[in-house]
Amino acid sequence: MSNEFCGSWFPVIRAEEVAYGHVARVQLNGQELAIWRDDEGHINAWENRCPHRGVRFSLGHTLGNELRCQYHGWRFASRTGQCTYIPAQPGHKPAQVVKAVTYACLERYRYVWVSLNRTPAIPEPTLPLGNDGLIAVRSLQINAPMTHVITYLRTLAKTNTWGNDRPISVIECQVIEIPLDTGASAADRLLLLPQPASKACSVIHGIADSTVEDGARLPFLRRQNELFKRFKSDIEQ
Amino acid sequence: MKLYDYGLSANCYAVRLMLGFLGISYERIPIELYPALEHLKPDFLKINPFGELPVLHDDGEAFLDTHAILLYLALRDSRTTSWYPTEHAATIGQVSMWLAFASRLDSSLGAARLHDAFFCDADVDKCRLDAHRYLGILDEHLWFEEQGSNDWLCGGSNPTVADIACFPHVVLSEEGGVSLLYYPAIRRWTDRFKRIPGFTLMAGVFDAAPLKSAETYREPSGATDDR
Repeated sequence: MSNEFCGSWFPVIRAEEVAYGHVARVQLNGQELAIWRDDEGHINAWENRCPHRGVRFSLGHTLGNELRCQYHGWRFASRTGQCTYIPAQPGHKPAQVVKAVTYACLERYRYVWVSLNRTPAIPEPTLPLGNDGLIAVRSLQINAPMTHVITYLRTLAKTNTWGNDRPISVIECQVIEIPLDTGASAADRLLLLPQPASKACSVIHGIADSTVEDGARLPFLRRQNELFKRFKSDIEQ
Repeated sequence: MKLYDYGLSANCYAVRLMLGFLGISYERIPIELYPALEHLKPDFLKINPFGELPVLHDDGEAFLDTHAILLYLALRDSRTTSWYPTEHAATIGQVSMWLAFASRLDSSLGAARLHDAFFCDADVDKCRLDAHRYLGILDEHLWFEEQGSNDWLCGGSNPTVADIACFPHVVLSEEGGVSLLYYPAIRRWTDRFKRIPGFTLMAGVFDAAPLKSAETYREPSGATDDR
């Protein structure tokens, strides 16, 4: 298994939370990003800043395959970020240099992943997971740098103060696996994926690889949410 | 119907939103909060001894409080309204609970904004700290409502007066130095709110993108059980 993606690719938001017509707003390593989905379902991750006057793209409108800035109505194309239309100069094709700053992003394991690294050779994120039967739990913001979050989770793994017979393990440099007691299967587990948001702030994401019946889904999500809140309270203490 | 109103007041905006959703026309009497402080002058104190906006006059009656006005308007023309559903005691309890929550937003988010925009007295650090605590609670609530396919604060398929009371404080939060960056479910709720027919804007509030694409979106294959 390759872990070369570690340190480059990070999950930033659950894929289903990037709804049509909505521009989500996240932060990765201090860079604020606008995340939006075009009419073909393609996800974009752009610097959250119109190159014209710096207004946040997350205030703007998605129009099919373009994003329109709220301030002066400049429009930018999905995928390339190329400016396509300037209302004050309706007869002119915008210059090629007028572009939104775009970042590599993809949908995988129920999440939108972004890499700020502009070198194309970084391998895509790979986890020991299929694409089926995964449940993305509620992400939670933590007021601590990601190194603190990882140290906390690794300490949990080392001391195994989990109250569970099965051990917590570190399966990648930035991915921690914890066993789940759903009673359904011994293979049930939750992968924790911390995201460095800024110097002082992280977001913790979780992918459950587990068989959960429809009726048990909401209680399951609530339990994981309580777990994340416990992490947050421990780490911020 | 007469509304004593200040364009930049979050609570006045809540009432204007309600009037817009109900399609009620009204006479607007502007009272300048800043810099004239007209709401504290003797003339206005005769209208509202608390010195607060908004005030609604209708049919010989005066209503002095935002939530009182919202409830009055919701039930004014129809006793069976989705804005304040009265059939079930539990719903009335929930709506009351989230109206009380809106008051918490008023005294935290709202106070921080009044401090930053109009130089009102406030312990602004405490206001912002409280605001983040309340927004965390709101985001969690709305996230789980979404998971149960509910778009609004009080379950059910329709927004209520509680959504209206909370919305202005939340949507104007950046003006009080409180970012919504880490409250994604709240941001989606504000988009849904802006798409309610009859939605009106105020300075600092932008509309949401049209939703024509939403019905055609399908999860990629194999990703449908996560709805």
